[in-house]
Amino acid sequence: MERSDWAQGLVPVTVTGQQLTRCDCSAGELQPSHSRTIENPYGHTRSLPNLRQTATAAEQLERNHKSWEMTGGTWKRGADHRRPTKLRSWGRREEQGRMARASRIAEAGASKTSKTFGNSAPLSWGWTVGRRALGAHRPMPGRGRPRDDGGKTLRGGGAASLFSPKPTAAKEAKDGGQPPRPRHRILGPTHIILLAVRNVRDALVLALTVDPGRLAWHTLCAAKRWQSCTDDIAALPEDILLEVLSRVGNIGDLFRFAATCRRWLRRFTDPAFLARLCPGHVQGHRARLLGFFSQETRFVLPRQWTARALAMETRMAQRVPVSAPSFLPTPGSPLGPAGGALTPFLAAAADDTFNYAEPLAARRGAASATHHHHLLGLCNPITGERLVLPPLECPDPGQCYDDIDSYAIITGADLNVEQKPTPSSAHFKFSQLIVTTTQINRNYVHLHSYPDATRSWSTPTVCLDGSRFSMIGARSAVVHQGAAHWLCIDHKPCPPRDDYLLYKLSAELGTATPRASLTNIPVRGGGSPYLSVTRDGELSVACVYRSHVTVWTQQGTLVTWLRTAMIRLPMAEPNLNFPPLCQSRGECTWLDFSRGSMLAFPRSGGVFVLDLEKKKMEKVMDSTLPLSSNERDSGARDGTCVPYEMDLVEFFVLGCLCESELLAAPGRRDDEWWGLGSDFKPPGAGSHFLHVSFKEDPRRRCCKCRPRFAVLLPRTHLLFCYKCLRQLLSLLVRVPAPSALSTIRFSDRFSFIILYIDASYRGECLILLPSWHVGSVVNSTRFLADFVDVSDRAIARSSLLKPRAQIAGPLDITTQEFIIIT
Amino acid sequence: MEVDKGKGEAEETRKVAEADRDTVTLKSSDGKLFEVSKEAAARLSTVLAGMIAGGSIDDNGTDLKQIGSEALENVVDYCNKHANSIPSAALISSSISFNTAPFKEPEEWERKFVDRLSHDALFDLVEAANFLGMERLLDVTCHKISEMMKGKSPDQIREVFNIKNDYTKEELEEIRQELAWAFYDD
Repeated sequence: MERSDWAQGLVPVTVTGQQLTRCDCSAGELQPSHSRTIENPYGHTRSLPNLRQTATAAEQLERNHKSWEMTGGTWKRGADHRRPTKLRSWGRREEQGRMARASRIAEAGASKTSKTFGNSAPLSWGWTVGRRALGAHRPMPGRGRPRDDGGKTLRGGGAASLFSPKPTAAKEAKDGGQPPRPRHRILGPTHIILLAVRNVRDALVLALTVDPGRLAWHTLCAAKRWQSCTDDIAALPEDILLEVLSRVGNIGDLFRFAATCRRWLRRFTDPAFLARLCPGHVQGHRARLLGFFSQETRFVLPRQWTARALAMETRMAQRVPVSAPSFLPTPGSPLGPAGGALTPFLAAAADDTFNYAEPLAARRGAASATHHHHLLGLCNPITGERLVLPPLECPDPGQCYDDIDSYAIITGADLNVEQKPTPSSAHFKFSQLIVTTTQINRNYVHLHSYPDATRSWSTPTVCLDGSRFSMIGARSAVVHQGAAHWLCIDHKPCPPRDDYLLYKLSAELGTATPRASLTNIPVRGGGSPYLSVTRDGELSVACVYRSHVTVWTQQGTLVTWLRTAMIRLPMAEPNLNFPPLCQSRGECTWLDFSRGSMLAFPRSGGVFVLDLEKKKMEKVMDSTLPLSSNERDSGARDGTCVPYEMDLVEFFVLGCLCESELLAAPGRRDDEWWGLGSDFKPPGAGSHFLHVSFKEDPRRRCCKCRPRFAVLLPRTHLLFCYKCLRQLLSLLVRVPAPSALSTIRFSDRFSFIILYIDASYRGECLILLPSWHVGSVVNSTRFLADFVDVSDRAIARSSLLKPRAQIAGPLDITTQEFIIIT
Repeated sequence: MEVDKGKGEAEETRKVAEADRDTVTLKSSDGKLFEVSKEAAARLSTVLAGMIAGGSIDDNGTDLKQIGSEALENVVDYCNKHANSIPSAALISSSISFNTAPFKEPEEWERKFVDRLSHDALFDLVEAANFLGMERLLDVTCHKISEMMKGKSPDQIREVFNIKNDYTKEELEEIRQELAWAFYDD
């Protein structure tokens, strides 16, 4: 087995300090062939331990990056040194004996070459591929300074040529006696490049660039697997690993597993991995539907209640068995096939306030509102945040509101569409709740807004004359271009036909007092109209008739609406359990679902999703849910269910990396943090970069970490990523001019673009990478190509971020470049 | 067994003779030989079935360079046990997906079979099963590993799988807080 691994042209190299040893593996064992040697303690074993050690060493370097400095060609421990841990626990317990021997040898070897290297292990053991593969590599572009002497970066030559020490820097260090305090924390001249090859069968090429002065290590080539975990289970081929993980089933278990070490966490936040973990879960609208919050046998509220009725209702509510809301996952949901993983959470979250609360709406996966009597509350079932809002104010004392008609949960991502700077923003963070209410005995519909910033209800404003208009369609608003929209009909002019005039009630977001506007929608409304946003981000109205659905779509920002689709609803299925979906309108409840799709709940059971663009109807699940209260037609509610929808990646990112309070807020800027000089002025409007401000010093959160790359989220946010990935969401920064960015074609699924901003280079290095993790998810050839092309261009333009550099102009990331990457 | 007519006669004879034998000899990476009934091998392993059908079975031991003797012994053991037990409809290929999981719970003897394996042996066996295309065995072993993962705290998982905890204490604490819902608090 060893032989078959090694025989495929792999050239093992050993790097210690600046010493490189090439080893001969022809005998199936590693025999040092030339150069100075350090015995490879693992040579006789399988390839895996070597790889493991590679990873361990790299990790160790990463961990200890602060504690080592290169002085005059030797390694010295920095002032803040921590004792490097010995290489250990890479293997199983049984192997510890061997391991101990290994580290002894390693130490011996290390001390042979460099005294100052102390008791640390050799920097790395790595395996390089032969010429062919090496030739395929390109130098790591954009490595800033060390790039000039590309001799040590990968060239077509043999592995040995890679590691020639950089003469200039070493000389500098010698000349200066004491090395000058490095401006860029690039302490050593060497880029130590570890190439790890698992074996040919798996075609794994893992190239780690370890610059000991900083914490950079990258995968140059995408690997079929990410094999650098040190544990047993990571040694499994990915297929098997997925088999195993998919059998775990419970999301909680997966989270706990992901939390065991950084690598696993990284892996679990890798969209490609997740996509493979739940393959059925990446396509279609079904994929986004995680499940339903449902509550059965909700007590019927009197339509017009008075104080007495209210009291009565309370009394009666005590008698009526009302269940706490429960979560019912869809079959493909990562929330667990059977468990309903959120139900225990909901139960736990449901303190007195939320007992028997009725789920009203859930949006962007994160926030869901619950309504108990006339108290509103918000909770995020994944992060566990909860918020109970103060009772709604009433303009006239003594009056109380009849009912909360409709609602809109606004999160950070919604607010930034129209360049409206908001005090705090995060993609998922709740930022505003808007509700409309109808007052007893009055026909006015009031609009209330609860911004998260002020934490109080705004003064209600009248938004609709109830005597003339009435709201129709879904109770949850459709948020589109910085406003929440509901549908209204004008029932004054009653045409003889079935048509009616349709209006759009829009509430502007992000304002202190809500402003509402009413616009006519030039659509021949009929049936039950539902507002939705198409996949392309256009507003559309779907009119559901008995046997068909007509879709009208707004054309851009124009006032024109066109009928874009007419979808025949499928007729009866042969299964008797599922009588025709559309026998009568009352028998099927519809809900607007995300991105141009709708959910249908036929009374006969089952849940279907109708894709308005592909005109397809798909069954999501069989079980009968309590009918949604989101329809306005019924006074009686026998239950309620709120679809809980979230992108899988969002879900994991949020679940694994949820963040709470660290958000961008104006008022304080930390230029130093950004590596921007104090004379740096944020570019004006129209530029993408980069006014970064923090509410809190991020270093406090993670002192060791500097931003390593930023992720441009769809729409408007920059997400700065730290060394430890769990900090991923900890710095979510708005891009000040999102309109320009919004022209970028982001695919429906999260396609991340990573701007590589390595702070240790003080921003000189800005590379756009096509994936979430540096190179871990794309295939090697493509990745390399993109990597080189894009980064070269990006570097040329990234001088903006240099400290004290003249700011020539805003960083111009053109649309084209983005498209190349995506 | 289908015999390829296009091949030479000698070849044919050899193949026929081979087909007459009812065992296959497998050779592990370190040269040990194992015999397994041809019927069971063909039924349980797609790779071996292909080899048998393709006539690439060597009388002196089919070389399986990817599999160590220990794992191969387990594989053969499994094949024999499976041949002895009542063949069930268990050979449903399972899929990775959550959606389609027609995985049949391991039977009692299968459970015992994987339970007695050491940690190393289990992981080796998974790889071997994967290599040989033994879906049922892969199912059973994967199931076993996932069982080892279930309902454990991260610490326990680390212990079981020998995962090195590379978070600092503070980071760990933060993670614990953030993922409080996923951790068992009791």
